[in-house]
Amino acid sequence: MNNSAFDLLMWARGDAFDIALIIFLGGIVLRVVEIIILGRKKDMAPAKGNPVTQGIKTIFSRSMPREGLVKFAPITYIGGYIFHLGFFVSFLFFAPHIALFKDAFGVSWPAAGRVIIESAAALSLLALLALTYSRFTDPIRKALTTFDDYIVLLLSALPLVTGYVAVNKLFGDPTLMMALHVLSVDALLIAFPFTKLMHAVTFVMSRYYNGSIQGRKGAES
Amino acid sequence: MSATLERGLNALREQIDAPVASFFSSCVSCGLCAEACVFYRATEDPKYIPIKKVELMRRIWSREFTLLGRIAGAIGLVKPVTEQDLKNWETLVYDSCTMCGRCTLVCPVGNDITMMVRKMREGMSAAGHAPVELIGAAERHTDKGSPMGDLHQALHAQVKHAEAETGITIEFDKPGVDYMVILSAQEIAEFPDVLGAMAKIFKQAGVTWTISDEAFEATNVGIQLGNRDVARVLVQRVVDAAEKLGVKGVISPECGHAYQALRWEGPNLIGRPYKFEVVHIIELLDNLRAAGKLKTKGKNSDKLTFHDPCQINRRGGINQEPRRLMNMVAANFVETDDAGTMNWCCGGGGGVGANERAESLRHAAFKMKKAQLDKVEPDVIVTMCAYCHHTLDNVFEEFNVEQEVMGLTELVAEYLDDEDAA
Repeated sequence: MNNSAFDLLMWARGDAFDIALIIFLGGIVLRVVEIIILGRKKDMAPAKGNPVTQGIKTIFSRSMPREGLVKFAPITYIGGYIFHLGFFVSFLFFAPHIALFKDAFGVSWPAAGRVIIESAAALSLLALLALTYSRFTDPIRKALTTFDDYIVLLLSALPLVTGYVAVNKLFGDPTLMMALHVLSVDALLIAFPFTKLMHAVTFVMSRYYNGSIQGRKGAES
Repeated sequence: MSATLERGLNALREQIDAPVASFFSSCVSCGLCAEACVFYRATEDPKYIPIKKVELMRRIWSREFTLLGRIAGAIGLVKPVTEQDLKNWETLVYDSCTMCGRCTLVCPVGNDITMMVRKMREGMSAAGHAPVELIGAAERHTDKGSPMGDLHQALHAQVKHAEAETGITIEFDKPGVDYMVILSAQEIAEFPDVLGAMAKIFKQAGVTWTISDEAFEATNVGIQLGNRDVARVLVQRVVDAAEKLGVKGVISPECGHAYQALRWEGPNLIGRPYKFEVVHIIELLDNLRAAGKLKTKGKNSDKLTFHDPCQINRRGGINQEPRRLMNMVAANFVETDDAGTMNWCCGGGGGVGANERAESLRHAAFKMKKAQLDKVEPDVIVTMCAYCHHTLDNVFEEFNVEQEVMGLTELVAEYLDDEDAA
């Protein structure tokens, strides 16, 4: 065993992780507070529909695409679904990850088999590659892409790549690869509140607002 | 910094609230709004991607309303909004957006981009970067009562004509009746038959109504221009007249943004709820139908289709009401693809139709509506917005296409069971 790799792993999952987690949680609180303190004027037009229930409903219903639109941006829609599903399956249902949750919070849930986890991670990575490709080639995505988007794609890919390599001992020192895996997670946590990764929290708010604005008018959302 | 730029930026700052901040925080630049946009789809030019149209507002939010953005701004990573930026964005905000609302319904994170364009216009107009036609219309509307100038004489002439045709008296300024009717300038000038149609329907249904000589104009150019002060003055006129007459309600006519202005924005513009209800004419007709007070006889056998005005359906929530009325009087009612909530815009809304500079873009954008209609090949297109009607008439004329368009109120009135009324 390489001692320096072991020390790095311990640091990555010890002090570095703690700091990353504090920045992650503190940053999220800051960003959410920054939004909420701006407030929203009371709407004085008598409501036709129920803004609250439709707001809540839209948080979920907006996960489905509008009929007939997938064909116009298949990489974005399908790639988007595969990436998100793959990422969360490999993150939440991999036995060693569940063990970490159990250590930290005392809760656990059934794990998925290796085939499922590895397929999910591999598909998720392929989807990220396709999404990156579309940012270079598709005129719409190209026109919108900023440096932030590439950082976010890279930070999302690294835990998947390093995890896959470490678990399968594909190359390099397995301890070092595991240290890199944990470091990539630390980096993801630190960057989260300050990049577009933040959408993973604020989408709940924006979808709610959309549904409530439309719902108040009795209009669809 | 010039005074107008500062005024524009201040107006934009005022528009930034929690929903706006959540929208910008959530955007992942996926670009799916583009595929929903009539202007992007018709031209495939990336500059028309909806979220790009509100980029200046995003920059102000980022630089001034987020900690990280303030730091980035201080070290020059996020540029301040300049006079030139506003100039560059003017056509994006006014010419290539009818505020139709399709983007708002497809955004995966739920961003109400349409609402943000509406907010952007507040800043643009305050900074003096709005189309001259809208500024002129706002002046005419404020000074002379209508965006087309003084329409008193025209209205009185049309009312007399409707009275002669129907034999029903239409009274001005009658207090205590059920409803005060307001009309869009387009109806008074171009489609006045709606007056006789309403007179017949209301007589049969036992609805009492009047027109205020002080406030009969329903449109509100302040909404299109993005000037809350103008919008407030125009809403206040209607509110004052209605409350003076003590009516139960005000009927918002077949006009998209008029409904948006009076029903949804109005109470917020004047800072209080009204003492009367606002009902859209089609909502009212559907209510009368449900109550058994609207009786028709026979059906139109032509192939009819329905064009949903964006501000009344997608942004206004009136979707099934016109369909129930259509089925009442149409034997061959055929829906287009994407009918209802995801209907394509006629291309003339949101002030785009009044904006001469936008004419070629508007004609290009009509491609989407045309493709929808071509599949159905209707004999008549029925709608519930006089401005959609006007836009469709004009664009068909431009393309040398013979196509009849009519308002739903008129269609219903044609099949009214008159015997029952007598």
